[in-house]
Amino acid sequence: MHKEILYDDVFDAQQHYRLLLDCMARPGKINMMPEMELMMPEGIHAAGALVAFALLNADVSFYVEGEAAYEVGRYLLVNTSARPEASGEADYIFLDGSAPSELLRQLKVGTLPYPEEGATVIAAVEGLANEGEGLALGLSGPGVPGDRVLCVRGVERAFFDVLAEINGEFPLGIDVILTGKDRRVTCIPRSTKIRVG
Amino acid sequence: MIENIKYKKSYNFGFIDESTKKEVRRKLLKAVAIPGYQVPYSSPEMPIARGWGTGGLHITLALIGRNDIFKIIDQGSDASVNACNLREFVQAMTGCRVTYDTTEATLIQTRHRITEEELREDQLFVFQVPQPEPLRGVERYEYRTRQMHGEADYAKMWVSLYESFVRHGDIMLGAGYPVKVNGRYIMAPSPIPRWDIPNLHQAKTLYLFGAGREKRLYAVPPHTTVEPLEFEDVKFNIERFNGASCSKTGYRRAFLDELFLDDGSKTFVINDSNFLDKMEQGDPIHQFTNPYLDQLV
Amino acid sequence: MGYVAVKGGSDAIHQAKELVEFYRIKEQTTPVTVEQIRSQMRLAVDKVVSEGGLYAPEYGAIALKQAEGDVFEAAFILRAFITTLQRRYYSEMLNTREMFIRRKISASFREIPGGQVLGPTRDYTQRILDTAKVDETLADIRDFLSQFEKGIDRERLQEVTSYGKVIDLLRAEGLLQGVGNAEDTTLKDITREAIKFPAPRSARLQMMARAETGGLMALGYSSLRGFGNTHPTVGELRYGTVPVRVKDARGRVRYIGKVEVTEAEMITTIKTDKKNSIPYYSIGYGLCFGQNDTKAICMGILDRAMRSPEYGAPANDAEFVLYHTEGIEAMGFTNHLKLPHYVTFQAGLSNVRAAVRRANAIMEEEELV
Repeated sequence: MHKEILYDDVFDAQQHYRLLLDCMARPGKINMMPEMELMMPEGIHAAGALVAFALLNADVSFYVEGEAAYEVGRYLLVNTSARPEASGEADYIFLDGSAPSELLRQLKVGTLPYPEEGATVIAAVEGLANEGEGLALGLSGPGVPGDRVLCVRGVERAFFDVLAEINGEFPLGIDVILTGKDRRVTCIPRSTKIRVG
Repeated sequence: MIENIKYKKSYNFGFIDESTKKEVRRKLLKAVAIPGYQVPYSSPEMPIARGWGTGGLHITLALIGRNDIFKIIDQGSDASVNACNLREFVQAMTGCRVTYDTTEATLIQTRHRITEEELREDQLFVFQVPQPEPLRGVERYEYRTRQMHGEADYAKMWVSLYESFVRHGDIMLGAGYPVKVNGRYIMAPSPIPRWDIPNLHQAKTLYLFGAGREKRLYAVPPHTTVEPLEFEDVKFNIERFNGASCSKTGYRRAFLDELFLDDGSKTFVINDSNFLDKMEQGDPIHQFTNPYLDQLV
Repeated sequence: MGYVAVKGGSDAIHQAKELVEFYRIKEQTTPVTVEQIRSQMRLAVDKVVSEGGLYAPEYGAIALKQAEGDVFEAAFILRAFITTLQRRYYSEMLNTREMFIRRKISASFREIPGGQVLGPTRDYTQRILDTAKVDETLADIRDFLSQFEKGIDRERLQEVTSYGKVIDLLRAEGLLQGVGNAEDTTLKDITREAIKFPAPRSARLQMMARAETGGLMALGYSSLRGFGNTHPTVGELRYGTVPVRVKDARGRVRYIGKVEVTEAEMITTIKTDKKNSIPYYSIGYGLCFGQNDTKAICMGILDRAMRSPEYGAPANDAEFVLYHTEGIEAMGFTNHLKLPHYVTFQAGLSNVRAAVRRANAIMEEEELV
């Protein structure tokens, strides 16, 4: 399985993380990860791989859902040393639009004294935009001035309905990072109110 | 092959190792996702003493890149001795550019003040925090304050504010006035003056807080409600300087330092050193505005 | 003007740094070597290494030289140094039954397997100031060493062996409480995550292993004097070297060296209640780098004391004991009061002035009435 040798653990991780932090602080804002030659397997976007490289290491665990779970799992293990784990225990969950929305209900949501233990989902979708085609989500709350529209292609609305339900138990909840094919990335933290459609 | 390097002299970019940087980065994302909630982290020791800014440094060094322009202030001043020491450390460990100019900086670390000039969306602002737990004064045990936050049980805090009012006729809290973030967590904004509190509310900038000694990270995202704790009939107010103005510029719409001169007389000067410099030189300024400042005559 | 009001904070701190160096060497005495500190100030180095949490006596000696003998400062330097080091392994569990004994005593029994071995201790010396040390020469040292050699009866040397522990004897008799509960078996690494309360025993012992000796001593002492319910007996106190092993990438266990440790096993009894009415013995455990009886003993006292939080004294209170004996944090925060706080102070001034004005106004009103 391919270990990426062009990736700079110090400076690429830092640069990519800054974009990700900006996304998490500004839900629905779409940033573009820089161009990079990667040989990731089917089932994970370049942006998703870069998010994984920026955040994962031997101290955390992950779970991959989907047909390519094995290949993606090996890729993540080889490149980050993170531990594969069951969906109910994993810190980082990798999936795409085909994942059953009920999977979200199995994930860690944290506890009242330690809500940060809730999982982070990295979801590979077909397309992300702030207007146009796809499922239109109305986002509001911390990080959003007023209201922001996020159009997502390649995910059923049930995914966001279930997500909104789970995050209704704030501060317990799941934080979501969405990646597109074209290096786009955006975030929906659990603090965001989602209006679907 | 086991490396045997005696007395190595070189350091990783940003001093701290990549594992720790990743941990700080992961935890900061969670902090941003749960505004005002204190995330525990490993907080390794730094060559700077505990209580002197290690938490702020952890955040700065985990975030800083080669192209950042770094500013650091203490009590509003770039020239403060501790700010100088930390600035030299960050510069030595990253080779980044440093500046005193608030508008030029991309990453600003502060001890106990927000800048007078408004911060932008592309800037990051990192607070050094001595005591991250706003309830510590009313509850000494960590395991209990954690429960209180989890259950949003803030009764003890409200009672202590009420008692303060009954005893002294006002809520006797100066710097570090407790605030409620996103309508959920009570947060310690670090010992900034009340003057700065309104600038946390619905800001353009991401605010990050690092308490190294106590090992906690927390955040206030932009466009987030931050409300100082107050009663319906006993309201929060910012410091008043009773008509005093800066003796160097005549300006009164900024937080002022009170200085005693050698002859025992008192004078006031704008606290924010870069703001003062710009005012004195007649440079353009873009100050924060908020309803409390507008009420100031 | 104040030291902030004048631009030149940088100059001020550089000058202060120069002055520090000046004070360290202004008398132009022969530079003390790191070797001399490591070998002749062994116990100071042991403290630094223990409180720094890094077993590296040579580095501890460098830090002591750099810090002009300030043990807090030197331990701090070592702690910060750890942050620059890559952590490659967790060691296999140390087995102190393998200890190459330098010192081994028990207060609980008159005789123990292998006998009471006093070892290098000042316990039974008289603390009379020895001014002869002023004139010590290398020749004197060599003389002492050759005399010392002559005192060893080579006919009576025996094979080096390790010794069974006193607690093993108690356990064999069925007198020791078992350890199987979550509190005793949950493993944490407090250098990798912030301690959370209630903390399992592993976290408490780790914190204490790096804690400041004086802090532990004060709290351990308080427990013996009535501010606590723990007054144990020394079951066994050992000082010596213990082998350290790690698992390599292929899973083989490899010996990488040895460390000097002091270990204390303090015998106490467990709390009894209706469910557990048999007063089993329980062990208060202490282990630290280097030779430091005080620290190991007080760790043992406090390990036991923290199991009885309901008693209510400071020594029983895990948050109190662990947060406040953390030397690097305590030193940093108490000294941080020296940092400028004038904005914080100014923020409070307006409140206090207003409160005084209000009180005076009320007084005046009352006088008029």
